[in-house]
Amino acid sequence: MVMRIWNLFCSLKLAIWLASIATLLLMGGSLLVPFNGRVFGSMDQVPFATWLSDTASKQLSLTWWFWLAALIMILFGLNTLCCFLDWLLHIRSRWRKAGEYLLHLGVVLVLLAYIWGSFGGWRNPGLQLRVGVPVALPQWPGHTLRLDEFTPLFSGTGPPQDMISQLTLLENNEERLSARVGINAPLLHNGLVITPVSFGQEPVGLRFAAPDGTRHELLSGGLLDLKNGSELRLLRFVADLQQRSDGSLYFRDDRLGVPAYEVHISYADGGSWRGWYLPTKGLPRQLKMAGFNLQPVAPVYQSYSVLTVNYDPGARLAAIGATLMTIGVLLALVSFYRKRTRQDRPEI
Amino acid sequence: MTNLHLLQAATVCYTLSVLAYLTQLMLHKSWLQRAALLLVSSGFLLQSSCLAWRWHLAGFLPVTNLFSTLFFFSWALAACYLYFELRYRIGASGLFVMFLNLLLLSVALRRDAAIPPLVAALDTPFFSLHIAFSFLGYALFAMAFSLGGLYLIQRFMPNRHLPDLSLLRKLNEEAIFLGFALFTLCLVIGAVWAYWAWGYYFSWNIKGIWSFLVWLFYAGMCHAKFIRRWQGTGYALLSIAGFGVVLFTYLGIGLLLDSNHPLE
Repeated sequence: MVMRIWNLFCSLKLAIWLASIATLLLMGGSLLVPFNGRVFGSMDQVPFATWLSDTASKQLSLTWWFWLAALIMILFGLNTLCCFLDWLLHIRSRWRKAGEYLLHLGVVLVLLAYIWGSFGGWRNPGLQLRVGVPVALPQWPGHTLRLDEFTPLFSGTGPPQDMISQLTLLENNEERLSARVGINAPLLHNGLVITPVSFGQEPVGLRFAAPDGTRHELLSGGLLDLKNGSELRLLRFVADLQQRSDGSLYFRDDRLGVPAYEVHISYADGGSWRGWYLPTKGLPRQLKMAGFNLQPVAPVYQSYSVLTVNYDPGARLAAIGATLMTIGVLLALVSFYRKRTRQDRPEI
Repeated sequence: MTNLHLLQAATVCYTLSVLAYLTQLMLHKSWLQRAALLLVSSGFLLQSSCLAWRWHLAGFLPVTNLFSTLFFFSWALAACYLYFELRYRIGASGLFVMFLNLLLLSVALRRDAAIPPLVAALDTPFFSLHIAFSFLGYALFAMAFSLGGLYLIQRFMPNRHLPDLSLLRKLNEEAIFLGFALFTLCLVIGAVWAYWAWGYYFSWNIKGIWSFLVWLFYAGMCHAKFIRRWQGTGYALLSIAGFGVVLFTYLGIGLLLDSNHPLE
């Protein structure tokens, strides 16, 4: 019985049948992909196993072929592995087929790596990072990512030529590694891969003109000395502060609308005042009395980086598989021409 | 300045070579076959010079729009034809490849030949290698299609001027094997590049799925040649069907469907 199963899984005909069924299934099914973005659009955003359980399982009428194709590909992988093992058992007489069978092993490793990555990996396709602000990686407790510097590079108009992010990975607030990430220059670390996606700009404050003509950028956390020993602290800046009909305030958007600062004035006599300053609506009385005499001129923008942060525990195995496939193909090519030269089974 | 005169001259050479091969099929003069080979070689040299010139101008392998990919596919077909002609003297047996070559060039020459600026993600040797191996693979699959068609003709309407069945079968298997090997390299390089650029090595878009299908189909064919029932006629039919899959993957998806490999 075991021998029959072994022989079946070593069979060339099984490989052809499985490849044919998988081909037909994927051919038909894949034509649904471009027309059902709601179901298939998120496939690259999450690991395959997560997509199968979260999305595909709820849309079986559209995704049944995926389950079947996945099963057939697993059987195809087993079939390929058995063929490789069978070759290994007979290597003394079949060593000339090393290229072809390295290719088999490479395919098996890549399939295994994909399955491993699908179940053990995670994806974070649009993580926004601002300079100096660590962002926790929700799927990887204890780890945070900090953007130390961000430089988009342009040459004339059009899309950026590069988006350079200087990143630091922290584990429990201790720096683990620091690296530059750019287009086609990812950060790779034990299955973690970080690549740039895009970037954005957001207003982080306003530029003001003083009566003497000097300019000042007032940003969140800034301090300003006022007259009579008073001190103005800029608690935060919001790009668009709106008021509801009941008088309560809310932040509408990250885009510039009605910019506002939440400020705190410490007076020399020990007193203080805390409130909102909306430059487009004029100075509050407290600021005017404290001697604040700056005029808003223009917004100050800061770029932020948008990154893909993925973790794939199978990536190394896939790289080994891909290397074996490449070596296998090259060996098979050499062996093919050698056979042709020697007229050794020229029909093959 | 994209120097299309070289390409136009190459097209003239290819056209004349096809005419020479067709005439040779009727008159059976060996000098016509030599002239046709000379014309194909000249056309290939002119097209290669044009490709090299455009590569030099752009600073990258120009294969980023429909004109450029048609141009490069045509170049790969000519290279593939020359390989088989110089190695096996197949003569008019590869005419389909040259017809396809002319068809591609006639479509390409009507399109804008300007080289668009390179998107930053494509500015890597991975991209050039991925594309080069892909189109060389496609060209070999086109040759297999041609040889498969001839096999069927020879099988059911024997013609003493065509190569015999065993040679056609051998050449078809060689085209499939070489195409599969190069297409495997294309997929491996594409996967490594995708991982570096986007953080995953397989994308579930329709182009990714169909590229995998092309690979799976020809992997199956590389095995099918060992099964007696599939040898010969079955294999020739599969070669023809396989090229349909290739055409849909290259043109059908690029032109008709929304994918991450658009052709514009």
